[in-house]
Amino acid sequence: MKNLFTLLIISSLILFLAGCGSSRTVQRTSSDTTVDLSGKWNDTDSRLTAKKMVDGLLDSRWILNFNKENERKPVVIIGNIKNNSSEHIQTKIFSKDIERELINSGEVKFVASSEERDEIRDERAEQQQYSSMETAKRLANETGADFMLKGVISTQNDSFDGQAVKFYQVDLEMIHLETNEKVWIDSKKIKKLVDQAGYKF
Amino acid sequence: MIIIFNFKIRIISLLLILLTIGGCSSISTSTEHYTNIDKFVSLEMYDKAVVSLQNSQKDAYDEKDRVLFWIDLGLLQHYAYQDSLSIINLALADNAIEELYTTSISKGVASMVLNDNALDYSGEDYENLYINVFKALAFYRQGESESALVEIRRLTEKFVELEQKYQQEYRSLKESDEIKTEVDEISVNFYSSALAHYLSMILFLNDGEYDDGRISRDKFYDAFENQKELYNFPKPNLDNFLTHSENAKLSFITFTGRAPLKYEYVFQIDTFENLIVISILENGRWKEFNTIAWYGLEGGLHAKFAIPKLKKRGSMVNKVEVIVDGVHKRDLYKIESLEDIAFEAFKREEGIIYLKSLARTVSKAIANEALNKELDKQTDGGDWGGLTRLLTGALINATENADLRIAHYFPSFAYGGEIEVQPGVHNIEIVYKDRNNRTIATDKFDNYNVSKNKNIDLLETVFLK
Repeated sequence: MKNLFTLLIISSLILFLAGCGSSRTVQRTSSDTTVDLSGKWNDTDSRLTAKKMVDGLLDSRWILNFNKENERKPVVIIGNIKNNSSEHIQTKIFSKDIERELINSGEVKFVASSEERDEIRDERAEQQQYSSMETAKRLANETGADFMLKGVISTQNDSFDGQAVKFYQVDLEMIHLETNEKVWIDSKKIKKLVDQAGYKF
Repeated sequence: MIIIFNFKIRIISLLLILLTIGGCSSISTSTEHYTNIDKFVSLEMYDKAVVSLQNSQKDAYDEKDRVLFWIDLGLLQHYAYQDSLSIINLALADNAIEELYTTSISKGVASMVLNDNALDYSGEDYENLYINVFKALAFYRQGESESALVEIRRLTEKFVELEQKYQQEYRSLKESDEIKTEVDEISVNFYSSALAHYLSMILFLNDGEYDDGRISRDKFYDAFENQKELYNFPKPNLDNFLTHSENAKLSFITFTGRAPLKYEYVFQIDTFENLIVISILENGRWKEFNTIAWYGLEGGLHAKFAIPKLKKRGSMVNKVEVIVDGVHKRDLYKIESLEDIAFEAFKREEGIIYLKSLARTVSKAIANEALNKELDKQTDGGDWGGLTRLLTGALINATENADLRIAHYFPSFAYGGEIEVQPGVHNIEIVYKDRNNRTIATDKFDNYNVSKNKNIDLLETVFLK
């Protein structure tokens, strides 16, 4: 710095510039493009984890055993996927990703979850009063699920020297609704390394 | 003649700059707008306080003050039972603090030339931590205990992140060319919040997760045992929370008082060769406070700088009683002194601000001296040169203001406690008493339905006096 006058001019410029905002641009991307802005749990993590876990679920022997014993596809209901992490994870999106993968596999049948059921039951009840006899759906004719899929998402974070590690663990288990028997259990881990720019003085 | 004309222009420019920056929020903290909001807060008219704060946004808050605005707004909305809005604003503050974890280079330059008021306010450490407590309480009130627990876990993580941040910051200071003295690291003895553990225990019990509730209770006890300076009041016994009862359980969390504010503390420096003598003003006289080695420094420089210090506001409440259907059930116990924790957490930040401000003032004083020596040479030390020296000195002092930004609406103390009552409808009163055992205020919950369906119920009250 040559002299204080230069310093003053810089100060004045900074004072003006401090009030200036930056413009925002929006770029549309495909929904399956991986965009990881903060290292937090995102749609890609949800989608990929669901796919990998469902692949494992379908490869395991419990479906074969069930088919052999019952000569039909197992009926599954999604239970609670608990968020035990330090982030507000939309576990419903993850549940839907799992549901989609399982239904599309054609290996299992799915019934509506407890949250979805209420609305459907209301509608069915109304049909008894307002719909024609031919089209009204019967009461007490729901398909009972054989298994419930439950899970937990947890996190463990660490940071050192400008780098943060975000460690996610997703645990899923399939439980037989009549016997409480756990027929399948799996765990998927995601580790993300996030670079943080260093502190500048 | 040309030289004198140039000096006139320079002096007029200096005067204009001095006048311009005198009222500029980039170098000083604006607090006038709080008067009106405080009036509503003291009357417990939190809805109106929210509106008053929102109305002052345009004039009192720049973009760099957004974290401060969101915290104050989120807290007032919490007290006004506007839980959804409170969560949004506190989350905005929380996310912005996380983003500001790294100071941007451009703003860093601004703070070196001006002062920390030019920087984005990134929240005091204790604000950063307690944001999550108030978000957790808001989520609980909305019936989202899973989200409330997410907030408590996030708070626990922040202790580790803050430790990392300061290690980086100290390393950066030690490596800085601007700091030509030894950098002493200050440690902070606050790494676990009893209030957060108390809340997580209730949330776990509410979900029927007794093992996790017991772990939280043990962590609550540990917070008292291992941080005795901060928890210098009797350790409450929370064992009753975990026992089975035929009655319904009702727990309380009560906030009283107002958290600390910042005030400006001014230092004067006088330099000698490789040495700075730092003085403070006591009873109208400058008194030597400290002498530190500063390598490569010449003597004869004089300047002032200011740093923020915390000032407690405390509470007029000495006791909080729970009355059910006209019968005294219990006194609530103190869980946390947020004001003591604010002081402890600020120790480290204060040390860093002191060093940065000192370095900045020394740089400005050196530049000022170089300029004035040049002017003296050109004017043979005439009147214009003397005036310029006076004005540039005033300009340096005008830019050296302490950053006094701090959230205004955190409480100073948290109390808790639990009672058992017959399930059903009750009239519940929370009575605030002063040191003379006089009732100052009462919060009433008439016809409150205490249900056995819930494992435990939580009632939150606030008295910010």
